[in-house]
Amino acid sequence: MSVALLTLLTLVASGPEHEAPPPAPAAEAARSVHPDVVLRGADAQPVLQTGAPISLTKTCGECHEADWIEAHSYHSAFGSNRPYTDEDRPRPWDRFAGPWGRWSPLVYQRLSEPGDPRPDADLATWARLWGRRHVGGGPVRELAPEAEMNCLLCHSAKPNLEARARTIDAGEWRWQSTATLEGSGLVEATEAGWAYVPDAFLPDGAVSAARLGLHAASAQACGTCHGAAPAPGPTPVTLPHLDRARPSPGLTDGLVYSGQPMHLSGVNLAGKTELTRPWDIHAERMLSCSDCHGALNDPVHGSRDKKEQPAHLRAEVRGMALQDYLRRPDHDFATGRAAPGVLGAQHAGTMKRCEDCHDANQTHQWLPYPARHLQAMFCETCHVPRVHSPLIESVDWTVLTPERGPRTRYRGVTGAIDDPGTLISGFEPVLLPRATDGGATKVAPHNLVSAFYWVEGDPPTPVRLVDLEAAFFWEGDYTPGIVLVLDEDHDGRVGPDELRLDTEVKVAAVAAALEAVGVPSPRAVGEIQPYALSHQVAGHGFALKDCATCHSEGSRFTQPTRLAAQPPAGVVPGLVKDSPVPLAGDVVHEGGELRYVPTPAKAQLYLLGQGGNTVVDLAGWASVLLVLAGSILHGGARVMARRRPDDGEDRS
Amino acid sequence: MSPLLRVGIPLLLVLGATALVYAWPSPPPPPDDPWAHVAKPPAHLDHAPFYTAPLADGPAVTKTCLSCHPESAKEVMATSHWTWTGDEVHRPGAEPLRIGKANLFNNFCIAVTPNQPFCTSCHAGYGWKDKDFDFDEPTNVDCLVCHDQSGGYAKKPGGAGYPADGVDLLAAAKSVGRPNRSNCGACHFDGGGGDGVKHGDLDRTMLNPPPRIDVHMGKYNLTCVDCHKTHDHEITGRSMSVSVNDENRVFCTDCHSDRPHGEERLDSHTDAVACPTCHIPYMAVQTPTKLSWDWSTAGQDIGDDLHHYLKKKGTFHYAANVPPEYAWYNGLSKRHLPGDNIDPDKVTELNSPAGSLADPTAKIWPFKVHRGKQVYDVQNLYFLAPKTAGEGGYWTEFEWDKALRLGAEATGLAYSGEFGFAPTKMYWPLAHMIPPAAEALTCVDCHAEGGRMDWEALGYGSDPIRSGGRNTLRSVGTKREAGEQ
Amino acid sequence: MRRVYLHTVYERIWHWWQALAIMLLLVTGLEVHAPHTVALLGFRYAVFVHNVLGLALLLNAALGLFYQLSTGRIRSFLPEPRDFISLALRQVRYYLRGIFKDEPHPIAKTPMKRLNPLQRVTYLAILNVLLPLQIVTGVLIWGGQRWPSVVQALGGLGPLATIHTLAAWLFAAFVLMHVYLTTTAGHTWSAGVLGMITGWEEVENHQPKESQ
Repeated sequence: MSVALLTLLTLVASGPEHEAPPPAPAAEAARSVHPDVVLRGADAQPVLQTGAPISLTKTCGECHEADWIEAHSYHSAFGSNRPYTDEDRPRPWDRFAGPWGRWSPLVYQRLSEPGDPRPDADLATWARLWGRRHVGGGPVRELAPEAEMNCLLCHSAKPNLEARARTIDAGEWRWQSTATLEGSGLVEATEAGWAYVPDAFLPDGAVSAARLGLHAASAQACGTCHGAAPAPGPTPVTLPHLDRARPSPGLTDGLVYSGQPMHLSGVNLAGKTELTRPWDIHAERMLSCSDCHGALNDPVHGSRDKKEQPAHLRAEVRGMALQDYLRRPDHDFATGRAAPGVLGAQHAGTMKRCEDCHDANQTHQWLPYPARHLQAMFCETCHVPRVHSPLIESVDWTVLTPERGPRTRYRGVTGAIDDPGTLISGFEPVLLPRATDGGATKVAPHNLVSAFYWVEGDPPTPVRLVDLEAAFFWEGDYTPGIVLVLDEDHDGRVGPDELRLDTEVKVAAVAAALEAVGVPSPRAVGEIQPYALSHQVAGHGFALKDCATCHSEGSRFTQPTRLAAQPPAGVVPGLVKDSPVPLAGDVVHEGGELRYVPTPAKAQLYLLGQGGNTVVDLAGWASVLLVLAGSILHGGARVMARRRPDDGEDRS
Repeated sequence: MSPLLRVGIPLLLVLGATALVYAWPSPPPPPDDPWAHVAKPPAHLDHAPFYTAPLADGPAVTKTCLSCHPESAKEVMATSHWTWTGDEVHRPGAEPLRIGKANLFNNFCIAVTPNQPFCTSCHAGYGWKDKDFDFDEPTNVDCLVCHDQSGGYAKKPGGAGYPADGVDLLAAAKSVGRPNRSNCGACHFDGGGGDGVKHGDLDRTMLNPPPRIDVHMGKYNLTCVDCHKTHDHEITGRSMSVSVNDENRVFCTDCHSDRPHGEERLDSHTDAVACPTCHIPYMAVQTPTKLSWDWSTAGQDIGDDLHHYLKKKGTFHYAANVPPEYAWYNGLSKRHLPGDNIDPDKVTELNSPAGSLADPTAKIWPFKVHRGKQVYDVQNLYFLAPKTAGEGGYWTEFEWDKALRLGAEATGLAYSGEFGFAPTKMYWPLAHMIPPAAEALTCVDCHAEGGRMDWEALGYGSDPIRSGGRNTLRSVGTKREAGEQ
Repeated sequence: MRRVYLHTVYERIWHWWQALAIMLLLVTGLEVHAPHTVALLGFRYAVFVHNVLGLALLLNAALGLFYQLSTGRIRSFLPEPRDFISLALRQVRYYLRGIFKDEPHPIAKTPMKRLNPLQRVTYLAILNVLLPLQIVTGVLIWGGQRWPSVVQALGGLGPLATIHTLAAWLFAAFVLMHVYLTTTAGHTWSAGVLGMITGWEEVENHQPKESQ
């Protein structure tokens, strides 16, 4: 019953026009069961009359409890409600468990506490940095009452993200909800600011839900921030969401959620004609993000925290009543245990895992030792065999590019990731041991992102971007001192390949430059963040099946992975403190690179087919050779003895 | 050695070997071995030595053939390639009627009867220029059109099936062999008067297609008759445009398993979805096919353009690489017969597939749907067959009235003198031009929002991925649901 | 010289079965251990064959033990209760000196005393220590997925596989040594091997006191 109802809540497509020659492809006339909506401002008055910015808290809040929803949304709080204690803060300068107060080397700038003598980003700056990826509400409420959670971002058909981003960049947070409707015909940007278009409203001043395209949040909505999740259709998939200027999570965890076969996509993949698999088998099989990462109280897709359940019960069927759910839909979504400091870590383990839907025992009986393989590995180890989109390898803030950014390297590409001509060869994941919900350990595929940056003072804080810029640039160019240190070919400029601190001398010189602009005791440090790779899931046809992939000399379990091509000299990064997984190997400098060299034994694994323990093999060879040598000597001596003159005697 | 051991040891060895062989881990056998079902053609016999003297004309060739293959003409004459008629249909209050290409109307060039010498240039015989053609004369059978391997044989356009001028009949006769793609294609690729016009899944790209257009021919080098298996000149296969029953069809499952995917979810689709539905994602991949034809605009001097407007024929719409349309089809079809009454304000379906969601033998099939607007008798309310080609025909004089009178004479269907144009529709099921499996439709093509299937039109309440297939319907048609309402 | 019936039919079958299984186990084991050095069957099939052969070896060992116990012939494996050391030294002396001078074998072979003292200790160690160890570790590696807790309690696959590999090397060394020493067993190079095939061996006529 509820399944049917929920289906009704989503869009219902109308059929193709059968009688019109030529036949049109299935035309979409969206029909929504959502009632008409009166757009209201912060004063609860219809904006059509007042011209005020739209307040969705007041508009949607008429029926849905907007305050409750905002209070139950980690996307809104961004960690601001989860301060770290002194023990669990991963870095000395991290304050909250989430982008609000957990520093990210990918974004770099740090939200400074009030009273910070050397402040980096204030709230307005932070909101500009993160605004595109923040749904509003929570900490940014401080900026304007309309800097609220923006329901339209995920629940309207065509939210105008660019228009919203422009208003945020301009510091106009109060217009962010209104701007999201640009292009719907309801609002237009005029010289004097945003204006409403009365003709687009219904005669009674309301707006039809169909015009807004209101619907349950789709994968495309999640993809806006989390990676690439293009709408299904014949249009070839491209990866524009993997914007290197504002690194999206898709660049760390390879989220490309599309059912389109890779070989039909618009991405320049190596070996493309053979890649007849969909980008993600679950997208092909019509699963949406919320099917696994559902709202915690969703009566249909909900992924309740199993901790609350008696151990003998497999499922809790007494879901919330639909009307209660629609009034207070929990916007804390079920999460896994993937990335460090991930939002919603308080709900880690609530999401549906592979085994909640799949019975691997039934489908893996072809595999020798199936139980052993399933004990030792998460499903993703074989079913995410390769990530076919660019992933960040390293972010180096110890130097600044002419664009005032870090030196960033990507995995699995041969060129710039925003150039559609770049060939994407893909990345073979690093296998790291991760705890299961049941407390055991299995290996799972990961991406390792290393970051290098300067810290100052004690307790340390990252050197501010302004100070970095001051140390590196003078009137738009690198300072003569920087050029002198980095310009190896003496052509008077710092080329892209020269932008590296590969010697102690260069490190010391930049440190001196930083000190010269007032940075107290600067030193270069590094860290490694592991990101679980759980998307781009391959079906049975493309999952790893060949024993030799792991049981051979070139095993995936022993292959070194580059962490950084030209790390700053003398910096050996370690795992970030709150990493959910340990490394099972060593971080070593080899050939100018920083590499991770895994050792299966450190992950409590012994893999047949890798030659095993070399000491044992050496001893074995020695004993065999010894016996052989002894036999040859002894036998030779016997032969010699026989050849003596008295050999002819009758010996019988 | 004791007798016990003498027997016991070999026994143990045999048992051990058997156990080993039995327990040997082998990859699961492929679910599907299509090659096991493909007939090995008999070795080619070079016929060149049998033909020495020059051959005067087509019937002379046939006569020579029959001297060694005396039954062949009789066999051919029993097939629809010869009779152009097939199924007998029974209508209340009328004589049973044998229907076929010879006497049905379509919404392309409309009808054969008034235009015999022209249409019958695709007949597998010589001389069908009017109703006096002798269907019982063995030497009238055209052996060469199917068996010529010289590539030099052709029929004369508008020539009632006779060879074209200048054809080297001797060379053609010497070359005879198993029919190849161009033998079949000579007529079937050009249906509707040009390459790919009619079928949407048959055109000249199939003479030598790349695998992406036709995997069977382009990758595995199959020919038409490998699938359209033939016994005694009876070729398997059936065209829904000229027949209504479902005998003698060719199926993918003739060679492939009906559970071929190695995956339960996909295999379960085969209960309700025909193979071509997923495996022909686009029709007319390279060569455009005609999707609509409006006769009512013909006769104007507004500039001819082969793919859009011709004075002789009216307005067309062609397209290539287009998604098919989908409908239930159980192998039977409905057929509009000449003389059946029409409602000129409604679209008349000249043929349409039978079957529905409730019919367990029906599957969803892909179709090319050809939409037409064609001439009808305003008083009698039935479609008319104009004489188009030849003397007095519409294509020479552009006089509808005259063409229709001449047509009425030929068909025997009375013409009142008042004509108009009414919309029609024909269904052409698609089964050829199967690309490699990797190109097949995937779940999202049909099941995502805005997908290809019109679930409501097909009889489902909503997408069956949510509401269940016809055996497990949760939202429509079940007793429980009906009781609740 | 006289002909002595040394090896019963069963003993010979047991021996060659054992020999074949061990040789094949060594080869397939090497492929499982280091597939890049030996690639005969492919990893997957090598594992399978290795397991089947291991089972064959286990069965053979059990049957052999039963035979030796029930017939009492197991005594021929047990070291001499008395003058073992002096007999062993005589055997060593023979290998180091006597054999080059074509001296007769120091210890007479009889059906109940087929083995010289060195053979006795070696076989005792192989059959009671190395073979059981190899079978037990092999079964545990195979059973790792059935009884993970047992394997975990024993330190996981790592130590088990290390022991198994080491024992395999010792087997390989033993096989080599065994094959060579066989050439010293009879009065000719091949007499030992032929004896294990036919059962009969020609042995020197020893003094009654030596042959006891």
